[in-house]
Amino acid sequence: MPKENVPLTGAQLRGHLETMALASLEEGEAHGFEVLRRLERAGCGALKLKEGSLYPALYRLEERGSVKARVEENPGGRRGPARRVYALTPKGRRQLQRGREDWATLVSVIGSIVGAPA
Amino acid sequence: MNANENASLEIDPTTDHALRVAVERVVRPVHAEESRKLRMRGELFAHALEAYQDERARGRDPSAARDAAIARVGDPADLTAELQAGVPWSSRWGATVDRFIRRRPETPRWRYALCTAGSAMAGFAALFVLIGLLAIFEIGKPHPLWRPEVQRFLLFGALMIFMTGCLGSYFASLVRDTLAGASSSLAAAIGWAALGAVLIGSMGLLLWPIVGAPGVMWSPQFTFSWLTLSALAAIAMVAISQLDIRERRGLQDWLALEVD
Repeated sequence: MPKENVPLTGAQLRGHLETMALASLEEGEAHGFEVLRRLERAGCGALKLKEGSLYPALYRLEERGSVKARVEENPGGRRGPARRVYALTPKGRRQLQRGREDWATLVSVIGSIVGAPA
Repeated sequence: MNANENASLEIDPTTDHALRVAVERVVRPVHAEESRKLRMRGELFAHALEAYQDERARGRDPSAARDAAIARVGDPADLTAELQAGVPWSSRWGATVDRFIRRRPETPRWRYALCTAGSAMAGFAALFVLIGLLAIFEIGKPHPLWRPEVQRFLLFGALMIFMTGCLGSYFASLVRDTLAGASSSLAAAIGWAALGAVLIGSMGLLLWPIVGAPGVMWSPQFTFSWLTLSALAAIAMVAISQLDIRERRGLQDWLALEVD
């Protein structure tokens, strides 16, 4: 069980940001701000990312074909610049699956070493 | 009130400007094609706006919400480095070429024309020298093609290409800058089509006496080829110009920002 009120920072999470972004897109397509909201909800408020860092991760995923992006048609009444909406591709789902397996392995191995409860 | 769902929350000009400057501070140093950077700008700005509205919804005043939104986006230097790391080599190469062929506003048009044409001619000269060296390596002596009269012909051709390149670069940049603010795409398209047709047409007229068979100029075959090439050049210039105009319209506001 993680410590309460101790935020997990970007430095601790950077290696797993792509997997987290893919996991968040499993719920359905979303623009960057919504992806962050989903991550914060799923992390119960313990996740404190430098929000701009999400976009390089999304661009890398897009470059690899793990996500695809489209420009969002401005929904009724919304003002401001057009946003790009990201969606998971089949390749992204496979990458997400591998990311989950890697994470489970990491937790198991490191947990055994440091003696943390499973 | 959830400001993120309340689309009528107005953004004051000071906030709009501050958020744009913060985004430009991140994106401007990234070495990538402008089309890619324009996408980065758009997304980060949209995000910063949502963060601002989120902060306002939490009860912050506009100034505090602005600062909080900018802080949420992250350290500009770190984010620039992260964005740069994700730019593929093809886009970096495209940016290098783009930086070379675009005239900067502070560069005199005549200098830009000379540099562009000179670089193109240097490239061709290097290619000819390389071919000559390869021929020596291949057959052990200079290729028969490298007779003095052929070398004079190539030199004359290179000078003609240089002159045409100079004039073309000069007038292309003049037309481009003149038409950049054109409200009518049709006016811009006509301008670019005319430039393409004149450039390729005049090149054909200049070079054909050199490379064409004597007595063939202005024959039906020559005329048809010359008109077809000129028309194709006009169409290509129109297509390129439309992409260029669209990109420049989006860019101008960003590039006008003063970023320290």
